[in-house]
Amino acid sequence: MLSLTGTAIADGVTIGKVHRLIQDELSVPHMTLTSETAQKQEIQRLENARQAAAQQLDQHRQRSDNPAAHEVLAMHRQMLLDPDLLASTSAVIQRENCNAEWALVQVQTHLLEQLNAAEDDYLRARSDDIEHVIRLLHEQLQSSATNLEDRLPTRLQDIIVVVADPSPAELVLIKQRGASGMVTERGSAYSHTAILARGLNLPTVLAVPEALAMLQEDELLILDGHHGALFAEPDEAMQRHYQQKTAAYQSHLENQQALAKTTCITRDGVKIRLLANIEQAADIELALEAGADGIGLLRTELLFLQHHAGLMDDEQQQYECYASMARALRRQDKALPLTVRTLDVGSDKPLPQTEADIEWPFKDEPNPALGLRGIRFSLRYPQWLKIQLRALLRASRHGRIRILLPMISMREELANVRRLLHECSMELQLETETDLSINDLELGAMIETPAAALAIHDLLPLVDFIAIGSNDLVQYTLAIDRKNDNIARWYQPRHPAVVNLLSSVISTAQQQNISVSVCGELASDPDYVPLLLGMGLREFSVHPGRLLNIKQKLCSLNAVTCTDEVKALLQPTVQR
Amino acid sequence: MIHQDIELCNRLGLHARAAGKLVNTAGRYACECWISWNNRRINGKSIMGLLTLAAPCGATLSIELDGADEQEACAAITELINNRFGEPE
Repeated sequence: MLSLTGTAIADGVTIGKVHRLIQDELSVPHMTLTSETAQKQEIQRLENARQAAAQQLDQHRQRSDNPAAHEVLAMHRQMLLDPDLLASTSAVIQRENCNAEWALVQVQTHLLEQLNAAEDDYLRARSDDIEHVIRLLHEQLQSSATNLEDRLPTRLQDIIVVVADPSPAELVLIKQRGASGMVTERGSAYSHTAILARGLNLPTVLAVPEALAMLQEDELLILDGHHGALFAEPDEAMQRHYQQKTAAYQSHLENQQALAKTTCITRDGVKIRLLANIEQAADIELALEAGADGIGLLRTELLFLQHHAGLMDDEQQQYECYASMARALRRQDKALPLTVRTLDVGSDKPLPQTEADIEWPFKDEPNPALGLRGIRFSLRYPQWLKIQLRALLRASRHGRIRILLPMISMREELANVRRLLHECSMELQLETETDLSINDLELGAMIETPAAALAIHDLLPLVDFIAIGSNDLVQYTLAIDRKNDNIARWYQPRHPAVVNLLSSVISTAQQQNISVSVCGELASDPDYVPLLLGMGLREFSVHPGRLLNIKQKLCSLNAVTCTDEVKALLQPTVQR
Repeated sequence: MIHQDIELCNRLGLHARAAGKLVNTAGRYACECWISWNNRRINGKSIMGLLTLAAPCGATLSIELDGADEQEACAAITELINNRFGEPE
């Protein structure tokens, strides 16, 4: 058994027979041109090669339905047709009286020299793109070159392709012919080939030195993408071990992909909306990949802390941030909701950096969990709330924005925010002369204090939706700090007090046609999903990484059975 | 002729996708477009030029535009860069 290692770029395990794909050796002749006519002909030959190569890229692009593949190949086409590439190569042909191939080598050397000076690894990895694009031109110029399509076997099932340095176009073809994996001799983890291998779920180990020389045609090879490891001619124990891993990975992959695409319906046909809790723009892609129906909670204080010192003071930056997220959630037929929770500081959540010079009163609070936090802070210092509300109002033109207010415990707080929101929209209309109405967005309250839960009738007329923050609601209801080890085991979401409170909030909101979700950790915990479903909850907002897990759980449940179980929990125990 | 300095504020800098968008935007206008950074000056309509510039996040590009529609081109390019090429932050 021979073991080799390379760069791990994606999970995925596979076993297959080796096929060594030898790329055409490029011969670069140096010829001297004797006349101006010959120069013109050479430039024309280059132009023809360029057009032919672009056409070839288009063909590859049409064959794949993967958006990442489309994007990379379109970019290569753009590079191929770059006016400067043609101009500088033609200039070398004229200056040095040489053939197109020779001129291209010089242009490529020059381009790579410039790029190699870059300090950023990601940007430097673009040298792979330049090499691949110029190689396409060489292949067209070289009349003896064979087409990869003809050289690559038409069926690559159960075959791992070993290749020196495949271009994205070649990778698309390899994947399309059904290869089970790929090994390369060169390439960086930031190359488009690597990015695309991940996007196409092709188990790949990158940059294995001398792979073509070390691996024999048709020998059995285990490829462990997760560890970047290869085992050629594995012994039986190794084969058995990896056969299990491969089967598990395959079924996991298929299940996850199928699951993301299905709607979330319980076994007895109850449809559930699954939203995602996110902290940054990059999470949106994760959420959508997992099939989320929108964003149920964007925690802005984390956005402020992580991304941009002073973002809290900067309306324009906030606007751009929310607007780009709202746009990312737009689908052809509708806009998925982006639920933005306004600044939620105090208690365990620190204050982001701000330019303001204020002596914060909550520094020495004896009991921060019951202190100046959430909406209480925002209404005490309305300048920041207003910046945020204005940014959100402006962003509402780009998608469907829902504003969520944390730590609401009384009607007056909601009325005050409504007033501020109205004020902001009037100001914006005057300043920008555009029509920004508060009717363009939805306003909601976090239900996380027992006060809000018990007075829910009072609050519902002032909101468009509610989101239950189960972490705080359970903690306040039971008077248990779940981070305190002495008592953490008494943090019991199945306590009748909690079940009663949650059930009544959910059913009251539903009776009044106000949408209600749970965005606390309870909704992300498969153990408590039946409980919430049984209380009548039809909207779960969970961490993107847990979404498929929760979906799987929900799809396996019977809503009626869960409802009966909750009813039983609420029955008073008669024995003493 | 217009001269405008703009700081790249998207996380990845002038990477492939961003460079492609910049070329497409500049290509929509007839005016000449030159972009300088780090002692190099390249054609803003050339993706190879932009890629080899390898300008990272935080780099201040110096943009020169010359032609009848230079004002419009300048506005469009400024907006594209300030919008982080449409990328999330």
